[in-house]
Amino acid sequence: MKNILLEVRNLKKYFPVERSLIERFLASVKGKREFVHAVDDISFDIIGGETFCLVGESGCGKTTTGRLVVRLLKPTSGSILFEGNDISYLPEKKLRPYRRRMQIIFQDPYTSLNPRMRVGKIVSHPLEIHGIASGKEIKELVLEMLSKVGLSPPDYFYEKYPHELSGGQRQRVAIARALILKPKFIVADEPTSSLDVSIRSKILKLLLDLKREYNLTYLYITHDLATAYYICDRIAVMYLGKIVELGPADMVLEEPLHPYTNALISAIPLPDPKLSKSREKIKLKGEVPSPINPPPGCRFHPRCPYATSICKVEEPKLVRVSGEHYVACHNPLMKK
Amino acid sequence: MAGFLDKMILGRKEVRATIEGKMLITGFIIVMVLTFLAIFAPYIVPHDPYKAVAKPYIPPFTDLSHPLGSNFLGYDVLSRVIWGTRNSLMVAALAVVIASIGIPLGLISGYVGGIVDRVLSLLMDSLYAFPGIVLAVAISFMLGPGLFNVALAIAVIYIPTYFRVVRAQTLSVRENLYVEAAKAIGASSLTIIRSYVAPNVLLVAIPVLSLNFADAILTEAGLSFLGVGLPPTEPDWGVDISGSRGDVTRGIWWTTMFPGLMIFLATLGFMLISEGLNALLNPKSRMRQ
Amino acid sequence: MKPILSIRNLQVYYPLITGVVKAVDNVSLDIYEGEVLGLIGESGSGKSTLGLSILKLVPPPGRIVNGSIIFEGTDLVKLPETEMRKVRGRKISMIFQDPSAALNPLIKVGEHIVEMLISHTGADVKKAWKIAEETLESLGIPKARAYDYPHQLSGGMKQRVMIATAIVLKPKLIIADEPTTALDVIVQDQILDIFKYLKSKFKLSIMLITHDLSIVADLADKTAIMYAGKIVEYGTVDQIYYDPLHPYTRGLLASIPQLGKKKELYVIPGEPPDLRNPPSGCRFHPRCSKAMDICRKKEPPEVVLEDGRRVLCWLYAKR
Repeated sequence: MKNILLEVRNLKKYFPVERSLIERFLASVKGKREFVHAVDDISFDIIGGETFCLVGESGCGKTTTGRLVVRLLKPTSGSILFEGNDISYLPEKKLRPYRRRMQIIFQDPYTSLNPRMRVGKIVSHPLEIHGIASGKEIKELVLEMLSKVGLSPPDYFYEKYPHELSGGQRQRVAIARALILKPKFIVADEPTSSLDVSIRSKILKLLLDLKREYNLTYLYITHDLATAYYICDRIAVMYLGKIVELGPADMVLEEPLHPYTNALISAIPLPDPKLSKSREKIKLKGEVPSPINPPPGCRFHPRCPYATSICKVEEPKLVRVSGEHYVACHNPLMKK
Repeated sequence: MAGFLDKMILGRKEVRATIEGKMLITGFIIVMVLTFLAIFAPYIVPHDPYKAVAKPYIPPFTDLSHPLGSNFLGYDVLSRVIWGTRNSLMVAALAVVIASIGIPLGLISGYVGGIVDRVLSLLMDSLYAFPGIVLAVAISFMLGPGLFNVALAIAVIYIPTYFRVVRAQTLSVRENLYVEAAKAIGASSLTIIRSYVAPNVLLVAIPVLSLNFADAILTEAGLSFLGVGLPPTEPDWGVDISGSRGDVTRGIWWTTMFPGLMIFLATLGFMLISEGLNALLNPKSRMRQ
Repeated sequence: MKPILSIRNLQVYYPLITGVVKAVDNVSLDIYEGEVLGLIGESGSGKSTLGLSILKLVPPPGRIVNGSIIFEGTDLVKLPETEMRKVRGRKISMIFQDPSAALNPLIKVGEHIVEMLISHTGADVKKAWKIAEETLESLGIPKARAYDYPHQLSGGMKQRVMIATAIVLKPKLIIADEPTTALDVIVQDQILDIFKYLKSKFKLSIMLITHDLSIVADLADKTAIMYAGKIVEYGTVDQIYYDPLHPYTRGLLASIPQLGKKKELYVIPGEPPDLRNPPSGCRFHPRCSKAMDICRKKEPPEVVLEDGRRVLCWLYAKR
């Protein structure tokens, strides 16, 4: 019996396009308001102890999904069940106890730390907010966590301000902050994209080590399929607010079923000159359309090399094809 | 706060070498001297500034016991000028303290947004639209003369400035990722404003504080000159210039010149601090070296 | 074969209040006709500064302190600004990372190209617009879009407009500084295809400056790896990727994940250095698993191997 930590059902998040009162008034007079369909009816489960990846290009909705799952955003409709509890529309006060069990690491370590707080305070603040430990105990817990994330000697880093640290060090502070409450579930939103190349593997390894030590479950968001291949157990590919393919990482990335996944994989350059130049590439035309007016039917059909007439009118549902491999496509690629 | 400023700014000799640094230091020195005069006025003044102590119209630099001369009533100009510092600085300080209510208002308005923000902004904008000195005169006139009333009148016209500056910065800081991170760890709105927003916003209010000081001194002198500020018996720069208005045409320049010079110096001192701080705390507005 | 661009002993320094940053420290490099050179480095390696210094666009207080950049027989370092302007855009062009920042939002997209043509060649307006339309079309943008404003175009299209302005005067060399970093994977692939097309059709030389080892593997003929202001390794793409010599190059290649290949990721210890106070001797030694005593004391010499490769490392120096 699998332990399902997170259940997302028919999750939608629409952002209104107009900003000012006047724009809203004009829009309602004209009879239609426009929305950005950032996340448009997605459903998935995350099993306790796994690393679940959400991949896609910019605008696909993966970042919004990450924010929704930790309730930094409120869904437009749909549900989010965390450890069996429905947290979808809870007010902030009721959410607070859940914040101890779910945390988020952001992409940009240069702006996710309060520039006016020392590292010690940044990492200890969650403990203070939730009333866990006090005084000397807090400092000990913080020092221990700083060591765990590789900021040694911890006393030295305890007193530093973020601007005195490098990008990699700052990201480790952010990780320490996320872990200090000993959560069960962490959303990692592109945690290495803003870091130097030579540092990325260090942070990736750290995340994996910490996962083992603290028995964590990750929702790992990234646009880099190579990283997803390395770190993920299961993966969901998103396009224009929808999940187009979902399954074990190896299967999805080595034998993709959806033409978009296939095109994505083929477009990634490889650090292997002969391989990169010799392989067969699928070339997609055009760019991702606007999420304000997504194409009818299957959202990918205007760019899909295999589109048929049904693709233009009917949205494909996410269906199981084999084992744990799901795809939303009227003409999925055949497995080899 | 002063300690932080000291360490971060004046402590570094690279900063001291820049124009802004020099401005800051010059302004600081001027203000320190004036503050010294204000605090120790009772011990420094050679004569009682409230009493006639000599023949009227003694010219300056002629009589050692009256270095700056005497005015039309026989009051010692030097003593009046020194005591005037006390009055001016006290009024200005009080005005700044009262006006700084605009800071928390701006913080809350900027962070909370919604209807609270709209109402407060409307209120502040209307206040801001009034020509400052006209409003100050009106309020001062209604309340009557006196130190506190003058301070209040000046403060009211400055509250919107604090409000606007702080609110604008709050709107910007609010969007930062570390504020979102604070929400993610479960911080309440009050905690977020106090620990995450305010410390990153308040820096921007400091140059306004200094500017407020300078403006307050000028406004107070103006109000007193017009007769709606401090009572005419008080040793005050504005009062003295007003009382000695007619002297200039008769070739008697020192009764208006020295109070005027003090107004200039005090305003200059605070302006230099404000400009210097502004340039140092907001390096983007600095000129390329 | 003579190179079209020869950089010799280039030193570009930034004198800051807090110290002198030796962004480019004694760099020598050649680029040949019709060749793509991938310049790989992380932030702070000096790669962008190197690109900018070729066109003498280093922002003050940075300046070229020493060295020569020979292009078509002339030393660009010694060239006065008036002459330099004739080189920029016409003989050597540059493409930057963020096309949104480089395009003027108030000018129609085609007009950027037209301006280039008119100011450099004095062509007449009608003809210039025609050329602009054709250039855009050759890069995959329909002619009608030439009359749109930048905000009406997507990121990938904007980058194509940038490339169009860079190639319309048929330069010999394009310097592309992180041209695809701000773009999604599929659009990046399209842009890289454009570079391949330009290289094969016009024998254009391209200096591709990036931190992304994979796009260099895909596009480049030769690679130079930069670290802390120095070129630590130089060779053909095959040599560098299949037989890396410098410990930094090896570490980098071993630390990036590769789709379809199961591997353990190597972690390069330490952090990139502070360029105001770089480590003594070899700048990489604090992070090098093979560091020897001499690496701490003396800067390594550049070693030229028989196959034409160059490495800046004591491991390969003959004593």
